[in-house]
Amino acid sequence: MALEWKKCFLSVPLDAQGLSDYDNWSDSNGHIYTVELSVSEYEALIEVFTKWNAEFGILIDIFEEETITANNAKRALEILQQQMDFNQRTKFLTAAEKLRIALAKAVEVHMPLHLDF
Amino acid sequence: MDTKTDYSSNVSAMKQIADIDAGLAKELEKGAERARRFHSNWQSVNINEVVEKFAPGAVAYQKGGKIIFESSDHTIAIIADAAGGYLRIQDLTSKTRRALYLTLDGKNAHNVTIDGKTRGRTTEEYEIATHFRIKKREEM
Repeated sequence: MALEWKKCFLSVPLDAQGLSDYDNWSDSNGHIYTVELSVSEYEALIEVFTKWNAEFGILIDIFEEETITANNAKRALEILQQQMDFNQRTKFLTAAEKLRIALAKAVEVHMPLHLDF
Repeated sequence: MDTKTDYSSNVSAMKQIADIDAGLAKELEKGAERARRFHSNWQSVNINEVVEKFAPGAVAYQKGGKIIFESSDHTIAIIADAAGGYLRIQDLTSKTRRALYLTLDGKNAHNVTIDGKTRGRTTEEYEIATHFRIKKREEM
């Protein structure tokens, strides 16, 4: 089956060690909060990513890496929450909740949210 | 039919669909915008040669705005962007959570060796080292 190997990850470095581990491509134990999204979950979130791209001038896309900076995380969370209030479809909300938790973590620790799609 | 024709045929088909599918149009625009921003940094490649080297005999399939050539042993995927006219080479055997993209000589692009010294690439360097502009037919 095509793309059965494809995985998408959200990563939030939790501390300086996590930042270093992420930059050095090290799968850190306990220093990076990581959430896996399936391709279908990524697709369910495309509207959110489109809004983030417009808001922050970034290019979130599949088979690409992008980052929501620590400074932009709070605004990104506001945009996500607006979409969650507007879009009540279960498939979207399930995926959005995973994204919300990761983003809330980024806001909490004032760290970036890395999107490895 | 060579790989370039396979790729170009898929691109044409996707662009036609994008005329009536706003979602696909948005996906294609991302790749086009990435190319506008960064293409001057990217090395140009002959897609026939890249696929022959890493995924000989692969037949393209589409996902979003991408056209994918997967090796028959499922160890390498060449991900070509339909609107941006560029490709990346992914190592599917990597055990890291993050996708591992390769240089044209098939090496892990995380590191670079210059004058015998190896260091990690910065994010910007990694992006440049792992994106390749697909040559037009007349350039091949």
